[in-house]
Amino acid sequence: MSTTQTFPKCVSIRVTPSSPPGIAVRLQFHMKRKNCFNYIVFADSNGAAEVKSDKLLAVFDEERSAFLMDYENPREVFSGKITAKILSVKELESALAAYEVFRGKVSFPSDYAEHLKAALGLGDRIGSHKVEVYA
Amino acid sequence: MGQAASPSLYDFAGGDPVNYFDPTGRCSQKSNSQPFTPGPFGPLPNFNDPTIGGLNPFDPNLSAMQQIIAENLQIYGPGAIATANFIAEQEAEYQFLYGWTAYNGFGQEPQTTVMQYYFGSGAQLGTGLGQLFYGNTTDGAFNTALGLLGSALTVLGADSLASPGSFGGPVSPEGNIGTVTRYVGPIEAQIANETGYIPNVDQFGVPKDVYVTPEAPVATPGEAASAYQIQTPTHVIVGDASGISFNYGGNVAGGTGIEMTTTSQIPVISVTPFAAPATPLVPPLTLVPTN
Repeated sequence: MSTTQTFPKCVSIRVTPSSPPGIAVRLQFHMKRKNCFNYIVFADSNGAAEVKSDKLLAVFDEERSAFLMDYENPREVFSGKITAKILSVKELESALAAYEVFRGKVSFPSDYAEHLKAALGLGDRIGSHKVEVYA
Repeated sequence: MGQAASPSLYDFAGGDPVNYFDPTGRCSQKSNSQPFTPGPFGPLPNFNDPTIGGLNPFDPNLSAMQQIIAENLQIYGPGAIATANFIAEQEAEYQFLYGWTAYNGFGQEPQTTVMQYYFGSGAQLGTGLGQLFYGNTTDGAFNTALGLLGSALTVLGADSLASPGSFGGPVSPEGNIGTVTRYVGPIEAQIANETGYIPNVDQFGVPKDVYVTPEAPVATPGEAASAYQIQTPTHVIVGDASGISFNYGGNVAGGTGIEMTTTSQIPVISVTPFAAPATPLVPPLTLVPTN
């Protein structure tokens, strides 16, 4: 029988090996039912980034309220699994396209579009990097 | 057809599709209902009898039913599975399901169920979602009525039962799902109006499952919230489902609705706000004369 997993207070990532700043990393929070929740962070010059749960849950609540049928309450259905992935050029382009549709309607991290464009400018230089996630 | 590497259409049900079913695609299980027997619901109606209830689903004069040729129809008790064998093949699916909508008026409390139907040739196998109606009818001549709501109609492809993990697997584009319904808040309503589509990515551009229902829109936001176990919606979107593949999600946990998912963008047909609650009438002012 599954139990509800406590949502982590803080989630951090580390990109290795040492990387140029601005690499975009997608955090995916897996749910027991319905869709996962996603969030994008940008690594600093040390390859690190972190995000607090209050910010994550605020974004997830907003997403859930905007798209009622697609999500359940992350506090109740979080599976405990978080995965991280360095965004490819194609995924960055998709994120930018989505930003154009969703901006002004839901909240984004500060300077989100600028950071996405900067990450896109890194191109294929990030191909061999790896990312680990800590919660 | 049937399961992969299996020659039998009915392996999913242990070779006995009448008494076993497999709602999850993982293992077959005994139907939880016994064959219908005379009792509170009366005798098993003879659906080939043109006098039943004053309506005959196989009446050649009813154009939508002209092609239906029933060889045998077995109805099980409440909440059970109905099976029917047909001489006709694929082209009769819609007529069969449509035909039963004629009996909606006889039903009392609808109960969502899964219908499985088998074709006499053994060459076709399909599954439909529907509403099973049972109870006494107004005229007393038709004690058990089986109805399918046209808007809830879903027809699965012949191979789809072989897909593990979700009952039915992908719904075939020819499944007669004309439209789907989606309950949304003001933000998605605005996006749908602006783009003409129900978005299939989240705000970060990540593809997601889009949840819809094949059922017709309900009348109030409260009904939608209850049936689909969601926050109270402000709008209802009707989408064009033609050519889109869906996965049948079954009944909503804790609710009464049926849900399906797709990863495709669904074109929007209409975005309609729920009517605002009636504003209470302000009692007329009473003038009090002053001295």
